[in-house]
Amino acid sequence: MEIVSTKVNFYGDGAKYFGILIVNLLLTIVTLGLYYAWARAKNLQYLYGETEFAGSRFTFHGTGREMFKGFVKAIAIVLMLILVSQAGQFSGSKVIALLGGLIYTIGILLLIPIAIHGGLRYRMSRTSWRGIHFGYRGDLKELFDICIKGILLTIFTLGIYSSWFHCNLRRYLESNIRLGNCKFSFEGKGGDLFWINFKGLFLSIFTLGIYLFWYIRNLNHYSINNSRIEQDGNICSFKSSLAPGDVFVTGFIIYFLVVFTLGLGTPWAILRQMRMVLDNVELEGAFNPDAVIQTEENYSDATGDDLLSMLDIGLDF
Amino acid sequence: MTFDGKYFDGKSSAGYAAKIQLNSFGIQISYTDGQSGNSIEWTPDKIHANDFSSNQKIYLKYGEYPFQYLEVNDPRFVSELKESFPNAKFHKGAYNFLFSTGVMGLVALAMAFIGLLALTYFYILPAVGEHVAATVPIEWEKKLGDASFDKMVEGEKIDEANSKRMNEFFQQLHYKSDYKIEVVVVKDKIVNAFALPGGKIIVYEGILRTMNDSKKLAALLSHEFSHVQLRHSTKNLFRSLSSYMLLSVIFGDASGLTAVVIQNANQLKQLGYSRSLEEEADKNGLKLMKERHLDPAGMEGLFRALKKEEGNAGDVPEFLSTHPLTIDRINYVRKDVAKHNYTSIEDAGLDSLWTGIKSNLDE
Repeated sequence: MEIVSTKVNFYGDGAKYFGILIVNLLLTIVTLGLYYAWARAKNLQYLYGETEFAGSRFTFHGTGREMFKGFVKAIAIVLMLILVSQAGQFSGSKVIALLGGLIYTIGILLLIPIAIHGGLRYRMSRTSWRGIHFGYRGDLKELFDICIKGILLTIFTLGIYSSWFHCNLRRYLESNIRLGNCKFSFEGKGGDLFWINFKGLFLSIFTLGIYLFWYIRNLNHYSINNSRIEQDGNICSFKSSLAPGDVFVTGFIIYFLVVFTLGLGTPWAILRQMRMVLDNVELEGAFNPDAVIQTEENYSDATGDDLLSMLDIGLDF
Repeated sequence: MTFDGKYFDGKSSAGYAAKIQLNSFGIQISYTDGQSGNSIEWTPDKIHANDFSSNQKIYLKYGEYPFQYLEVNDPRFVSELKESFPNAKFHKGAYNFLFSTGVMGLVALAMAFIGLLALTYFYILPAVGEHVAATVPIEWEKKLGDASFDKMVEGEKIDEANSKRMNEFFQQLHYKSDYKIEVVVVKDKIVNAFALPGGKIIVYEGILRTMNDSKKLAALLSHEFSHVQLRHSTKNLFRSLSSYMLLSVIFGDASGLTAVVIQNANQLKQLGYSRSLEEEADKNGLKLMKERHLDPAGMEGLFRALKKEEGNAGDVPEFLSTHPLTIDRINYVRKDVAKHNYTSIEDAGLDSLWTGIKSNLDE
């Protein structure tokens, strides 16, 4: 079969993005933070709109109103947990204080899978390409099992299991992502990730950080090269051509962009980093960009997405 | 005029080559989906707003989920669209205005932004901080002061006998206050004194050794008492807190803020007062001394003694390093004294307490 390549390109414009971020920041400050949801929506709308696959741009459909509603719900949930732990602190009883702290910690841990599940459903449903929407079809209970098993084993193995946990999570999430009638999957193995992390940690120390550029490249390749998309029985692989030199040059530029402009260069730095990753991605195989059929449902609850942002968890798809 | 574009029907990713025409009702789209020719019409009110459309390529999104799309790569289409439907919402995105202003608009916006930040940082936040500080209950200040007191005297020896005398000395000044003032003498050769929020005043032995009469001590205590009474520490704390808050909003760092709160609560010492607050304490102290008919020369004498110390030791005494230039302080005290003529009365009670303190120091 003929191998057709379908590239990803990123076109973000620094000056334009600077304007967007400044307006976002200004309105967020002036409204004492209330605008944050709208700012997030605009930010994603812009970045998705500047990302192109096979000649067509992505669209982010999420709105500030949806994200604000989600934000209010997410705040209520987190606030309730904080209140429980605070009430425990002020009760004067050590047992109750301990109990409050325990409820808080377990609550936050349980929130992680809920946030990932809801966040991914929302984010995928609100993303489209050529009018075809993405979707996440994962099951919350199965995700819970993976997370609980992963967290416990990570604790018992003093962190060693975390590579396998990360990999299992990624495999489960990605295998449940659809673009219309196309299905994604992830073929990475926990052992490979462990080895990359192990080498990354030790060689970076021994080479005084120089190996870091290879480490970042390896993580990038692990994440992208193991991703697949299946269209009508045809399996195509994503491929990243990121080289350690790219990481070095981009890192260098980003560092100076941020430091020497007292932070004003941040928008350019963000775009630069996105371009480094995205411009190096392509899809290999007989993928037909004209034959994707709409299948996914509309889903507009942004609570999970806001929880993710609050817990500072990034979904790097 | 007819434009070429691509039409996506929301059912499949196949983009159909389309001929597009603008008429009075909306947009007429004619395309062939493989088998048959189709023609549909879009009404402007169902076209979604797009904040970030460029002038080269335009993407229009239409209708309900699943949405339809139109992609046109023709700058003339953009301008004709605007002309035909000037009031339609789809090209009225809030951010579009910004980009239509070009580079100058962005620069102006950036300047306005920096200006606003500077205004907030230098004027609005200090004012807010001061306002909040004025409403903080005294018990809260006392708690804060006690916490920093414990930290500051950690590992230091307290001179109990002299502390007792100092408190008697302060009581003899008969200054009215909502605060319960407690003076503590610390055995250390540091030439400094601190007023903590809530009423504690720490005086190091070093600064007492530079004095040779009761007037100077009265001046020092009047100065420190003014810091407490005018809530300088609390104002300072809230000022720097609100500045950190702004910075943490900008840099999105909430955990840093917590660290700052903790650090500030424990180390008020490091904050130091601004020179204007010091001057305020000097002048208020002087006013109090005059009301009590104490010799205002004590204030000048205190500054001179400290200045001499400065010359002797080579290092600037700590008390001076955070304060206005000593020569300035001497000048404004002198001016103030000259302006208001009044008589001072010798106070034998204060003198005898001072003698006690002094002799205890020399032991």
